[in-house]
Amino acid sequence: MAALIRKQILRSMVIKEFKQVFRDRRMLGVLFGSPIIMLLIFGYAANTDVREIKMAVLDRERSSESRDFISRFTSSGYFLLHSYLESEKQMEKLLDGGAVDLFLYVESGFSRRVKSGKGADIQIVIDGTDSSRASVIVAYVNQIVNEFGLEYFKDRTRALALGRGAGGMKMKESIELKERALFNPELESRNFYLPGIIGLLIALITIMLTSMSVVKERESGTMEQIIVSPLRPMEFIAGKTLPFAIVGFFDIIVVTVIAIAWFKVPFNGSFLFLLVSGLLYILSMLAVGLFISTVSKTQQEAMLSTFLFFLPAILFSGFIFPVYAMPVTVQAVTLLNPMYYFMNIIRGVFLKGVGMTVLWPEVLALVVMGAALLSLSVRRFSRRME
Amino acid sequence: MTEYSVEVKDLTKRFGDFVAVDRASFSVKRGEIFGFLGPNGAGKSTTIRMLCGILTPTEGTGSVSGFDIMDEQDRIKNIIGYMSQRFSLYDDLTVRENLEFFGSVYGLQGARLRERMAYVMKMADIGRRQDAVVKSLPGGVKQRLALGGAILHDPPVLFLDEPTSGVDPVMRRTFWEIIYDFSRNGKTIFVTTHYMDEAEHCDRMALIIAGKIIALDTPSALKAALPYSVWSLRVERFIEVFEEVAALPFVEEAAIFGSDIHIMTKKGFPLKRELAGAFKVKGIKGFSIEEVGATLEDVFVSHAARLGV
Ligand SMILES: Nc1ncnc2c1ncn2[C@@H]1O[C@H](COP(=O)(O)OP(=O)(O)O)[C@@H](O)[C@H]1O
Ligand SMILES: [Mg+2]
Repeated sequence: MAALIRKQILRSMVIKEFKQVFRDRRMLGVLFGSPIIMLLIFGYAANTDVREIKMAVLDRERSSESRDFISRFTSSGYFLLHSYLESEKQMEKLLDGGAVDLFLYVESGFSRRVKSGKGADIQIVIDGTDSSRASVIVAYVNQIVNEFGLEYFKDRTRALALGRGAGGMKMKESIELKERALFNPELESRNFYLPGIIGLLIALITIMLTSMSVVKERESGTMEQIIVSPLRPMEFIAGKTLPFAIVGFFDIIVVTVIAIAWFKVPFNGSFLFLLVSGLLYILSMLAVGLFISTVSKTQQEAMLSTFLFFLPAILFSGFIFPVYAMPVTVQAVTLLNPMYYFMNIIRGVFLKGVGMTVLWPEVLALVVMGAALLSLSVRRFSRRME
Repeated sequence: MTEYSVEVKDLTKRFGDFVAVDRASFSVKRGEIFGFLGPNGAGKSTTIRMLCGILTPTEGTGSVSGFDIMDEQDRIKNIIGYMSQRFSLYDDLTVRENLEFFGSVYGLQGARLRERMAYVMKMADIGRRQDAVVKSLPGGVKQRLALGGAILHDPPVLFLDEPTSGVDPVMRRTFWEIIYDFSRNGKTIFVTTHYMDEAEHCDRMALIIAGKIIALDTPSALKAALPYSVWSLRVERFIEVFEEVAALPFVEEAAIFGSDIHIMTKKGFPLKRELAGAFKVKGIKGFSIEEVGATLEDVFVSHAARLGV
């Protein structure tokens, strides 16, 4: 039996595809626009880190201790001092208008009570409109308050210990350090999202370009010329997918490098493992693209179908919402989503530095799903145009 | 090797309930120009597409160069050239890129590919526009390039689906010269058209209406077989007169032919005398009438009338 794919012809097909993509504005937009937009959105804009918390202060005490306490906030890097207030009435106005996120009220008698070790009351009012932001702010405030209290406590114990002589009790400073690490979410959301973007990009680019380029042939009538030619079905399919596999592969490398070099996302795993599993993922996405090309008549339809696949696929991939927080039935759906497995793989490789020994179930799932999707799509890919 | 390049028996294509091609049977001799003449929607393209393997026939059998159109499409693909009714080269590639791509698909390489490309570009009058994007070429050149794409690999059997549609009369003539040229080189040509006058160029032709082949022969035999005398009537206000003429009892068929009216009567009918009488009654003056040789259009009109379409 003759080979399914002749090298020479596949080469011509791939060259032709690349030429067409680079002359097609819409495809160029998908090719270069989508990575740039996604990197900008998830690298800069969609930052769920809480910073620049605007704070208004009413300090009834005005002692060195209270000023020290307030400066703990402003010097932490998370809080911006909006204004000093004179009365509580001003506070309401500011919070209602959204001008400040946080109101800090230090009562008079603060330093006396702190020094006496009895504990002092401060009052904090937080704008709870954005509940997740508010809860992060509460955590910051707690940390600062705890640290402040701890230091005073420590000073006092040290004084006590010194008074008692050597061998006195000592505070474990490690407690303090550990807390600081936990409550330092600097860049964390970016580290979480950027690797995931690779999964999105590959899906978008390979699915959309594959389906659009196939449908374009049908729309413009060139498909007829292809059908009457001795070009074999597998040559056509390979010619339509290989270019976008190459583009997808290229994207993995580029986005990974940008994530590491520009956005300083830690990369702890094996690059080779990332590429291999990326290739498996690309194959299953190409299969989806082929499938879409069999159900779409126009390029617009192909774009629309791509998004119809894309949105639920993202939703059930854990890219934004963690899968473990979903109802069990929905979790079952995620098991059929190649993007879900790739998200696990890519985050595992980037952030945890794990490889095949841990991620083999995901890799296996990609292999099985890729093979199933490909054979389904290839079979559906009828070369006759009825 | 059989005498026939294309043989078709009871070929039928249904789209749902609609019968686009209804039990078509015909044979195309090796080396002849075979025409498929019919109005839009008659089923010409559908027939050609079944022969080229784009559509699967619903019923019937067919072969191209002895290869079965159902089971041996792979063999057929290498020996046919197809020019679609719709322009079907890559608009966004250059002339050279298109020819190189399709050439390589047909296994052409190196010197052979260059030679064939040079031939096609000369035929299509590409001149120095080798590196022009196809989209930017004038319509006539594009159309000839499409024809060139179909013969790039020098196939022995050519299927041309309305190759001259939308082409100006001068260019149409050029087209037919090219087609004659192929024919002289021994190629079999299956060509569809809805231009009656073009059908005269064919060695043999089939008339197809509403999916049915209603007549098949050489153009002269088809005309000779017409059981009527054909007359050409020239008269003022011919559109109004036409209604009156068509209603006359001895007029079998009447059709507007340019600014003339063609009238068919039983053979040997004394139309000149009878018409003069009828016109006198109706007060129609200033007309001339003479018997003319039948055209294919007359043949077509008479068949269409017989079938009630
Ligand atoms: N894919 C299709 N689905 C449904 N009807 C079709 C299809 N292709 C053609 N037809 C119908 O079949 C008839 C014959 O079409 P076609 O062969 O293109 O005619 P022609 O080429 O003689 O103008 C037309 O009425 C057309 O609408
Ligand atoms: Mg047609």
